Parts: sequence; C-alpha cells; structure tokens
Amino acid sequence: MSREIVSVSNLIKIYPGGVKGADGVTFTVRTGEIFGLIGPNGAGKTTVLRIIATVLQPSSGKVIVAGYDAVSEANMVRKVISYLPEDAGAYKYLTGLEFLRFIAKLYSHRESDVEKMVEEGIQISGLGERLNDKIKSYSKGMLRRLLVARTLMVNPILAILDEPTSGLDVVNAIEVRNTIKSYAKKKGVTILMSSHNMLEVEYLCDRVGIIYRGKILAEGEPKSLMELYDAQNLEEVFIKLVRGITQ
Amino acid sequence: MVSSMFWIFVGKELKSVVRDPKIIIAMFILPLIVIIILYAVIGYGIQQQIIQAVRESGTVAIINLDDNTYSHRLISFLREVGIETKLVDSTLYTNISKALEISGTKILYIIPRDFSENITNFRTASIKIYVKLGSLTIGETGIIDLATRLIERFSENITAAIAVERGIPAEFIKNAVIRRSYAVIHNRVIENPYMLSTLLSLSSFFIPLMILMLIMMASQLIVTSIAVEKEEKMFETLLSLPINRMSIIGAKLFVSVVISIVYMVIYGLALFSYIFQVIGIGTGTNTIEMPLTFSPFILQRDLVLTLIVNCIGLVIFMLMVSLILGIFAEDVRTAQALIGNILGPLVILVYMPMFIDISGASQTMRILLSLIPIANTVFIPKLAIINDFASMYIAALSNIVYGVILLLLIWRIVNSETIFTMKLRRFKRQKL
Repeated sequence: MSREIVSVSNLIKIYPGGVKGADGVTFTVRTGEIFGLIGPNGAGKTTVLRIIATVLQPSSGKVIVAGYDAVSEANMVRKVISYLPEDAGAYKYLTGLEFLRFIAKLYSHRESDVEKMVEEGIQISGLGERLNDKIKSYSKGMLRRLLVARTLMVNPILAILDEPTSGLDVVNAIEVRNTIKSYAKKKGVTILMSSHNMLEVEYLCDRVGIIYRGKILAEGEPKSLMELYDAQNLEEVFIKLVRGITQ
Repeated sequence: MVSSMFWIFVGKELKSVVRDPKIIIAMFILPLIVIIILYAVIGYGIQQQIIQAVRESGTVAIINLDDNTYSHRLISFLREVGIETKLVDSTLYTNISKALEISGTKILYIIPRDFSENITNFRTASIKIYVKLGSLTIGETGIIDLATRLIERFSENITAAIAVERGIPAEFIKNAVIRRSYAVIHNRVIENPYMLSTLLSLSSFFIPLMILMLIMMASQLIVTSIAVEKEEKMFETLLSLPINRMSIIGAKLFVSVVISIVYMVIYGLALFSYIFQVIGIGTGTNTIEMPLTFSPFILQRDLVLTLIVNCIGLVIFMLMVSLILGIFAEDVRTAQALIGNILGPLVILVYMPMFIDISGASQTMRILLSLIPIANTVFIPKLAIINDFASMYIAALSNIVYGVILLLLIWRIVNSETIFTMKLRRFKRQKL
C-alpha cells in the first residue's frame, strides 16, 4: 500500500509566452489509493495531469510513473496508465460498443483480452442496450460514463481522471463517483484525479494535494488536513491555506 | 504490433469516412467545386491559346517542287479557305529550318515533284507537312491540327472533283492525297508531331492535373480527418495511448490516398471527356494517321522515370503540407479553410507553366523553375525536349527532398508536445 506509483518532484512547466502552469509541484501517489489533486480553475491541476499522462513535457523537474520517467520513457508510461482528459470526447459516428472495442484493441492484440476489456467496459458504463447506438445520440452524462468505462476497462496500473464529473448533473455525477470508487476498491487500481469540487474529493479520495497557482500548498488525508487546519471540510482548509499565502 | 495498430486505425477511419458528413463534404463537395472551377479556367485557357495559335498560323509556307495542275489547285484551295500562302525557294527543301525561318510561318508544306502526275494517274500523292513547335505549349496542338486538316480537306475536295471530272464514283478514289507530318523543334525534325503533341499534352497537362486532383482530394481528406480528432475531443486521449503516433498518421494517409486514387480516376475520366469533346483537342483523330511506333525521342526512359519520381515526390510533399496544416488546425473548418488557401495558389502553379515557354530561358532560370514544386511537374517534358537534363533531374528529385524534409519535421512534431500545444486558428469576424 505504501509503494509510490507516482512521484512528482519540483515540477515546473512554463508555456510559450511565459505563463507558468506548474511552479515547483511535488507530491507522491501511493499504490492502490485514490489521490485527488484539488484546487480552483487555473491552479495547474490539468497541466500536472497532462505531464504525468505524457501529453505535455515539463520545463524542469522529474515525474516517475511506476518506475518509468515520464519524459525519457514516455512509451512505457503510456502502457501502464489510462488517461481521461477533462474535455474528452469520443468518435460520434461509432456506437458505444464499437468505441470500447476500438480502444481495447489498442491495448491488446489478443482477441480474448479485447473481449474481456469490452465486457468490463459494458459493466462499468452501465449503458446497456444504448451501447449499440451511435455516440452522437448520447447525453453528456452517458458520454462521460462511457469515457470513464473506456479509461478503467483496460485495467491500468494508474488511472488519471481530470475532473471526471465536470459539467454533469447531480445524478450523473453521483453515478460516476460511485463507479470510480467501487472500481478502485474492486480492482485495487491507483487513481489520480483532479477536481475543483472539494466535497467530491472528500468523498472519493484517500489522500489529496491542494494546488494553487502552480504550487502544492498541502498534501495528506482529507481528515488529517481538516484536523491540522481546524476546518470543517476541505473547502475551509483551502480557504485558510490561500489566505496564508495572500496575507 | 505497429502494423496491427495501423489497421485498427484504418478500420476506424473507413467507418468515419462512411458515416461522417464532414468527411463526405471534404470528399465530394469541396473537390467538386474546385475541380469545376479548375476545368472551366483551364478549358477557357486552352481554347484561347488554340485560337491564338491557329490565328497565328493563318499563313503557310509552301515549297512547290511539282509546280503543276494539282499543286496549283492546292494553293488555290488554301487561298479560298482564307489561308495566306508564301511560296518559298524550292532549293530550301533540304533545309527545313531555314525555310521556316525565312517564311516566318509555323506551317510548311512540301509538294513533291510527282504530285500532279500521281493524282492524274490515280496514284496516291503525298505532301510533307512541317510544323514548327517553339513554346511546346498545349496551344501548339491546334497548329498541328490545322496543318493536317487543311490537307485532309483538300484531299476530300480533290477526290470529289476528280470523281466528277472522270465520271467515277468518289468511293473508288480514296485518299487522293496523303500526308507525312513532322515537327521542327529547335532545328530538329521529329516524326509524328501529332503523337508528340498528344504525349506533350499528356505529360505536361493531363498528368499534372490528375496528380493535382489526387492532391486536392487527399489533402482535404487528411486535414479533415486529423481535425475531426480535435473536434471530437479525442486528440488528447490519443496522445496518451500506448500506440505509435505515426501509425495514426499513416492510417489517415493511407485511407485518404486510397479514396483519392479512386476519385482521381473518376474525375480524370471526366476531365478527358471534357477536354477532348468540349474543347476539341484531338477531334477527328480517327481520320488522322496515328502511327503505332513512338518517336524514340519522346519516349525516352529518362523522361518517364523522371515524371514518375517527380509525381511521387509531389504527392508526398503536398500530403506532408496537408498533414502539418491538419495537425495544427484547431477544428475542421479551420483545417478546410487552410487547405483551401493552399489549393488556390496550387492551381495557379499547375495552370501557369502549361502556357509558359521555357525554351528561351537561361540555364539558371530553368534550374530555378525546376525547383518550384508542382510547377516543375509541368516543366519536365519541356525540359526533356530541349535536352536540359540537369534541370529535369533537379525537378524530379526536388519534390522528394522537400517531402522527406517535411516528413522528418512531422515526425518530430508528432513525437513532441508541439502537436498538442501549437494551434492554427481561423480568422473569425468579431460580432458587433
């Protein structure tokens, strides 16, 4: 349980134009836990997740995922992760089932493995017969469930979920949260997720990292952080931390 | 594994092509609009050039070695149909270039000594036709056509006249006059000018156009299919998958090129029928001798190989340009607008060289022209004819060099974060 699956140290990302996406971010994610990166919009959550998912490259600092360097061994990292971007979509003109099969084939060329993954995807999505319909006919909630399913069904060592419930109504958000929580428990998969919804993170995550203006302000279990900062919830913890910086 | 990834993406691409209206628009509607405009512009250009060339050929030179009844009737016939004739000193019949130079005409007829005697004795008479080709443009086809048609009409005319005079059915006197045609290019006499002009048309006009069609279709498809990944918000996901990113690009290229080849054949056939029937190039070819043997000059292996290498290079180069635009375009409309902006100048680069005479240009200028992608495809046959092999080989290889450089650039872009961070945006009008 204590082995580190993700180690981010002193990560800096400067975009062209000089905008800092990450400013010395350091945190670790342990095997089998759900780790939440929380912070307001523009705090640098997505930048950090994109670097871990090998989509972006850091300006400096080190990111190790399952023992592989995210820059020099990006291909190996991609084999052990499954990433769900915040603004992800799917091929509208494929059916949900075709889409799941397409993704599964990218992870294994063995038909039995593909079938297993698709079966898993069908279960996780909970979309039933609607999987035979084209994705363009799906509601936002259905699409998100399909995407969460495609992320988790490939049985990754690390699933990276960027704002998995962003833009969803209450019912769909709860369903997605429950799916993530039950899947992580059932499979023992490590999940690194981001959210600006601190209550969601409190419910889902074993540990959190609070990020603000590209820096990690605090890292630990939600309960410990609340105790440490004498707060009722993570929102209060965040407010106290931010006040500490701005004052 | 890389190959299986490739085919997975090929399968996905084919499904998208069949089901996605955006790709169908890229496949059918945009190329159709461009091609209709292109055909109209080129058709008009050719028509004007032929009219101009024929107008310039309103005067013909004649060396009359026969100087007898029927040769006089030929000259009278030509004058009756509005052609001005210039009689050239008969001693020049061994120096065709000089005869054409002195007369200042593009067409020279040599009427042999036994011309009238043969017709009188019901033997087939012959006339030698020399056509001076200078610019090697498609308009010169019209001059060859005019030179041969005039003799054909005279042959029909004289056959009918003899039939009436002798009281014999015209069917019994067939082909009173036959002709042997030659082209004079830069003081060299070449057999079968019609074949030469047809091959010139093919290599400097139809082949570039067909390649242009292939490029237009494939470019539209490739930019659209890459931009669709962004529009459907799959791009970021794809970049994080355990796949060879170049296999995605390769699959998109493969599907685009295969579909484009099918369309190239269809649109190419439409172009052939349009040019041959509406414009009139080569009309009446059934009545004109078409020898089975090609002139070894035009069919030299180097020209064919050079053209093939050049065209392959051109396709690679343009597909790479399209790939770069597709990779950086932020959405489908931007991608299609960007490629539309590229295709306009592209049409000009194909269109203009068809009507440019490079025979008088300096070596340096010809080398520079042979370095211009797209245009150099049209220049290659012209360079071959004027024996500028250095420029011809440069034209052949330059496109491949450009294509490979761009491929290496794409390789680097695809395997870096630039593919994700750099975006080309369409200029959008601000709402008031």
